[in-house]
Parts: sequence; C-alpha cells; structure tokens
Amino acid sequence: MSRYIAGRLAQFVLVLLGVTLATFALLHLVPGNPARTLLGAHATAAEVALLDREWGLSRPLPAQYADYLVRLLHGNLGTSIYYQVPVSTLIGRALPVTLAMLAVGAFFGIAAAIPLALLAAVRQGRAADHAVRILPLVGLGMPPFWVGFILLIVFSLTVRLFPAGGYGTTPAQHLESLILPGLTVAAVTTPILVRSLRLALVDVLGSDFVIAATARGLARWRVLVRHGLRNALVPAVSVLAVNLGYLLGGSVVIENVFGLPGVGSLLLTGIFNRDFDIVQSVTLIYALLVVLINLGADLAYAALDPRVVLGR
Amino acid sequence: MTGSALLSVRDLCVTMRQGRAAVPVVQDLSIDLDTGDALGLVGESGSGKTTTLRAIVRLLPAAGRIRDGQVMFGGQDLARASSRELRAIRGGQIGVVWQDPLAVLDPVIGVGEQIAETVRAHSRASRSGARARAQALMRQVELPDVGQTGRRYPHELSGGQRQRVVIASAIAAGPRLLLADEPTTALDVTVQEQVLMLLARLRAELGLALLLVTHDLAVVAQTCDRVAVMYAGRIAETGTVASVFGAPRHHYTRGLLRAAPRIDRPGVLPEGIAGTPAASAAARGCAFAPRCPAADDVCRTVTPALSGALSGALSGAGGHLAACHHPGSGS
Amino acid sequence: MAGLALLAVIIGVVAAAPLLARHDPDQQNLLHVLAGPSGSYPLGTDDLGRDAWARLLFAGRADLAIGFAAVIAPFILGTVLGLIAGYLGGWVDAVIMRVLDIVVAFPFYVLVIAIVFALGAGVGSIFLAITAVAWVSYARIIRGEVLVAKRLGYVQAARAAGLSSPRILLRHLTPNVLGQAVIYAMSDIVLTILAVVTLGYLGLGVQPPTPEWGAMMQTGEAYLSIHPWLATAPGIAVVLTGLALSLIGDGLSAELGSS
Repeated sequence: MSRYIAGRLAQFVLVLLGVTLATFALLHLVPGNPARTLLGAHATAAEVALLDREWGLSRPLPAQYADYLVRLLHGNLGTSIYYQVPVSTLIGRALPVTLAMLAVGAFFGIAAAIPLALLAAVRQGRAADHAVRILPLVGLGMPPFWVGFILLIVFSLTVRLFPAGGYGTTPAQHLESLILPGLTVAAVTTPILVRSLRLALVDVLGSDFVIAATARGLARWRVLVRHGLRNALVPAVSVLAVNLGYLLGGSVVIENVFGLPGVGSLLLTGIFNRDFDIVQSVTLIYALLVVLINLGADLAYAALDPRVVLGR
Repeated sequence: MTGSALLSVRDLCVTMRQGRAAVPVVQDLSIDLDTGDALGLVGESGSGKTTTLRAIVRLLPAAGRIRDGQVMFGGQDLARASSRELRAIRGGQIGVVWQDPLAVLDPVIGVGEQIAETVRAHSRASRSGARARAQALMRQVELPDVGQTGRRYPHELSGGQRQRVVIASAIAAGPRLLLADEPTTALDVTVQEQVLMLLARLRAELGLALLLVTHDLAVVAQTCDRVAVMYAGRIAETGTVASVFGAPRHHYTRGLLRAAPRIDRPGVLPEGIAGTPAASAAARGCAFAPRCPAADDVCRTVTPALSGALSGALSGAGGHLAACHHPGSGS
Repeated sequence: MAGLALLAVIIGVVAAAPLLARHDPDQQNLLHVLAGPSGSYPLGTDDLGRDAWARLLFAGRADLAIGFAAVIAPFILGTVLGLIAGYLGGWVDAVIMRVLDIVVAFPFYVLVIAIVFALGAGVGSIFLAITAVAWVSYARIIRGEVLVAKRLGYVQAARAAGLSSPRILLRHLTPNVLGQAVIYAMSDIVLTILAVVTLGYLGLGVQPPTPEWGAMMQTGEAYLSIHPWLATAPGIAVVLTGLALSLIGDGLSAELGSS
C-alpha cells in the first residue's frame, strides 16, 4: 500500500512539473515582450527594461523555467500589478470561498442525484425512468452561468429569498449566499451523476446477489440501498472524479454571476486587468486541485471496493 | 397424502417472454414434498428445473411469469401471496442455496455481516445477538475460525467456504424447506463431496426438507430419497431413487442413465441420446418423441400424463410414475 | 430520431436567419432601448435598441458554425495521437500519456480561458485553445479501442500476412475504432458550443458587433430584473441545441452498440 502511494506521489510530482511548465509557457505564448505583458500596456520603456534585467527575461528559457520553479518552491506566486499585494495572499483569501461553494454544490448534487437515479433504476422502462433519462441530455447543454441567471430571477429578484450576490461578512451570511451558487453547481453536476449512477444501479440490480438477497427475505429498501446503491457507488465515484475538471471550470463563471470572491473571480479579474501573475498562479492552483481530487478519488474507490488491490 | 405435504406444487405453468411471444418453459408440473423429505429435480440445461425452483419463491427473471397452477406451502398459495407474505417466507420458511456463491454474495460486505443481516431480517435480534448467531451458524457449517472468517469478503474465501456461507445464510432464520440450485456444480470435486455431506448432516440435525435441482444424477443418488426427472418443462418420470434409477420406465431416463459413466461396469461405455433437447414445452404429443426409440404416432399426437403402478410401499406422492405411452419395464 | 429532427429545425431556422429576422441585427435604435416583447420585436430590444430576436438568430449562425468547426481539429489530432500511442505502445505511448495527464490536470474552461487570454481574444485563439485542450478525450478513447483491437483477430491476421504497420493502421484499425470517437464527438460539440458561449460571456470570444449568444447573455445580465428575456433566450437556444446533439449521440451509441 505504501509502495502504491509512493508511486502515485512520484507520478503526482511529474505531473506537477509538467503543469508548472505549461503555466510557465503561458507567459511566453503571448506575442511581444514578456516584461511588457507583465507590466501592462502603460509601462514605460525604462520600467520594461528594469523588469527585464531583474527577472532575467532575456535569458535562455530553461534558465527562466528553473528560476520560476525556485520561486514557486519558495511559495512566491508573484505580485499582482493591480492590487499591489502578493498573489499568494489573494489566493489564500479566495480559495476557501471557492472550496465552500464546491462543497455546498457537491452536497446538493449528490442529494439530488441519488433519489433520481434510484427512482429511474427501480422503475425501469416506465414514465419516471424516461423522465429521469432526459435530464442529463438537457442538463449537459445548459451553460452554468445561464442556470445562475434563472435561479437569480426566480429566487432573488422575484421572490427575494436569497441575496443576489456577494459573500456577506458573517458565517451565516456566507452560507446564505452560497445556496444559490451551490444549486447552480449542482445543476451542472447532477446530470452527469444521475447518468452514471443510474447506469451503475441498473447493472447492479440485475446481478445475482441482489436476487439472492431478496431470496433471503431482506426488506426491499435494504436490498436497494445497502446492497444495490453501495455497489453502484463504486463506478459512479470514478466517473464523478473524471468530470471534476469540467466542474471546476464551470465554477469560474458561476462565481462571476453571483459575485463570490473566490479563485474563479480572481482569475477573471486577472484577465480583465491583464494581470499576468494572477492568471498564471490561479491556473496552477486549479491544476493542483484537480490532481489532488483525482488522488482522493482513487483512494475513495479503493476504500469502497475491497476487491480493488492498489499497486498491482 | 397430499394434504399433509409441506410443499405441494400443482399444475404449475411458467412462461418466458422472448420477443413478443410468451414461450412455455414449465408445463403442468406437480410435485410434493413432505417434511424432512429430499427430492431431486433432474434434467438437462433448459429442461425448466431451475425455473421451477425460482417459481416456487416467485423469483423468476423479469421475462418470466407464472401462468397457471398453485404452489401450496404451509397452507398458503405462494403463487398468489402478497409481497409482504413472501418476504416473511423467503429466508424464514424457505431457504435457497444457489449455484455460484461468488455471484450471490455481496462483494463489498463481510460474509459474517451478510449472515447476520439475514438473521435480523427475520427476528428481533440486536446487532450483537445477530452477530453471535451468525458465528454459531458458521460453526454449524464447519467454517474454521469464525471470528476471522466472518470479517472476510467473499472474494477472499475459497469456493467451498463461500458455499458454506451461502448455506449458513440459507438456514439462518430456521427454514423448514431448503431449495438448492446446483449447489455443487461450481465447486471442485473434492469440495463437492464435503458440501453434500454437510447438507445431509444439516438435514438430519434441523429436520429440513430439501428440493435439489441438478443435472448430476450421482448427486441425486447420494443425497435424495426421491427423484423427478424433467424434460422440456414437464416431469417425465418420478419415484424413489432406487426405483427410478434401478428400473427406469421413461425412455429419456433410460437414456440418461446409459449416458452416465459407471464405475461398477467398466466395460460399458456411456451412450449419448440422439438429437437435441426440445427448446420449450411442446404443445401436443410427447416432447421426447423425436429422440425416442419407442415413439409412434400416439406419442407424437397425445401428450402423455404421469401414470404408473403404485408399486411397493412408498411414502410421499404416489409411487413410481412415468409420463410415457409405452414405458419400459426397467432393466 | 428526434434528435436529428430537432437539430435540423434549429439549423434550418438559423440558416434562414435573414428571412426570419424582421430587422437588421446590427442596427441600433437608441430611441427604442430595452423594449419588451412586442409584435414587431418578438423578444424586445437590447441596450442599444437592436432587435433581440434577429440577434438571436444571427448569433446562432456564429455559435453553431464555430462549435461544429472547432471540433474537427481536436478530433483529428486526438485520433492520430491515440492511434499512435495505442498501436506502438512503449515509450511513445508513455510520453503521449504523460502529456495527456498534464493537460487533463487543468480544468477545461480554465485552460481554454487562460490560452485565449494569452493569445488575445478572437476566433483564431478560440480554435487554437480548444484544439490544444480537447484532443485528450479523443486520444484516450481511440487508444483504448486500439488496445482492445490489437488483441482481436484481424490485427493479428494482418500482421501475419506481413502488412506494414502504417497500412494496418490506416486500412484496418481506423475504420473499426472510429465509432466510439464519433459518438463522443456529438457530446463534444455540445461542450465546444458551451465553451464558445462561455468565452463570449466573458468577452473573450467572438468580438462585437457580431452577435453571439454568450455575449448577448452578458449584456442581458445587467438587466435581469427588467428584461429577463435578453439573458435567458440565448441560453434556451443553447440548451435546445445541446439537447438535439445529445439525442443524436444517444441514438448513435444505441445503433453502434447493438451492431
């Protein structure tokens, strides 16, 4: 088991290196002088030349990359031109907000997906099943921010139930302002979850041990949940993890719609202000999140299914 | 005789939906089983024996339907019972032992817990009480080191051990009847013997009746008192094991016996039965007619009913019966 | 199937945009700003007095065209890389898979946004960004299919007959392996359209004054309380398109799955 984790960590490091390389390359994709890109269009020629020398931007690329790595290892994610503070500070403030929103969204998503998938699997071929199966088809085409609009119109502007945006200052306010964004996140996740969970359930419910469990006289719900759902969760978890990348991306625009000060909004601010350090570092953070989540999903998969032997 | 039977199946008809048609796979089937009795249901694949077993506890696959007939058990017709009544009977009164133990156990839950859960489903036992009972059951089925074993997952046990777990959960709630569908087919030969002996022991200890479905004549000969031979959804011959195997009257049974290799007759080679088995219960005439050496026009047009002399002193449902217009006299 | 029918309707409507629109989508009418739905303006007007319905239709042309076109390059790139990785195996496979791992580590939108940002907004950047990111799914699918197919009879037979590797790849493997990729392409078009729309919403996509669904939703966002249709109608269009494509994808996978 420890050999497996060691192997995975090594892979993890390799991927991380690659990720840093990619984000590093981002700066150099931009046509024109990198120093000018970093400083913005209003910098004077003298300032550009200064940065050029300071950061060694005319040095060969591999050397620059090495510098970048060193800076990263020191936790230096650069400085925001717009805010004039270290980017790490900004990210430190923004990350909890995004994570909270994702957590709320995941909670709603799972809470919605399980009953729907169960319903469809149990009533296979009937009206309820078809209705549930349409859901992913419609849901996959919904732009996340558009869902946000609809929710805003219905709950905020018409009914005045939830705040229209912002994050509030107290934890209670935080939670309140996370509900609509959380629902929006759920709207993006639920279709995917329902689809894979339903398929897994249908598969499991047809298998022999479910029939045998019924033959032992176990209550119907127990067979369904304890045996059926539990086994169906295993493949569904890995599907969820794979789609997590997509989910994280959608959260960027959702934060924008609801004015949440998370890393997504930070990314967008960086873009609109052409604040390169922010964009580069936030992209890196996102990649880190995805890799960590995937590792977590693998471990969860092994925890759920005792037949899985890690590190084959 | 039938009034006192534990299980009495009368004129059971089961169909399977294939495409748009409902194909009959079990037709006019009647068997009786007394308390403590052991009946073997024998036939080739597709003869309808497993379907019969599943129909008794109403666990047919989605395409299956009980079209007609009764399944009387303990004064109730299982074919018409409500799901609540069935739930109490399944496991509580009738236990089922399946063919492939790996497929019928939940792969993500420990085996001890699966047995305990059956106990809890049929009694008011607490978690610890159920666990204790599960361990007692595991000892009864001769599983070693019950504490350790109970925590294992199905895939961590050997085939024989798994089947013992299945047996343990089948008897967990103290049923009166055990249905066994090819319980030893998926096991190694040496383990088969052990499991069969275990079943025999449990029968004696618990006074269980046994309905054993199998294609293996030797298993029936070893374990059962009586046997019913099935062909194409109907019973071809029934009687005590000694009588049917010693003096078979239906030509299919004779063919089966000739096809089995015999240690006590080393020079005699097994003979196959010509032709292929019928796909479903035939509408008219004897289903075995195309392959039968003694078939004639009567056989092809009139469906034979079970008949025969009530020879000898026999308990259970009738004596040695065969559904044949021209039964042999046994050899 | 229903999907094809719906898609045909959508494409037909969009293609016939000039006929169905009553007004020029770019014509501003500052006296008539933010009007509600009316006889002449079925969806009302936007903040510059332009006909929302006309803009919706013309935006459809842009979004659908880019959406469909932007899938082609990743499809080809991913398929080629997947074929090579799967068939050759060894270090070639390892390298391609590592690169894939790295690309996959980034959330799809984040990477696309970042690349478009770096290259500058516009249709060209969109194409490049999407190609750079979306090829991975195709590569994975094709590689998986190739790995399975390698064991099957016809590959062994071709090898035994002495056919050269490239020939095997082209004539025999490719046609059999493409099925899954094509099915995936259907849902990928949906994703791509979503990406284009999202980029438009962020101001990074198709540039004004060309109408684009995402950009329309962005302008509409500010007026949700007084003129909700501006922001919601384009979204409905996207959802319908997505539904049509998903239905087609489902139908295709049922067809191919059974064969």
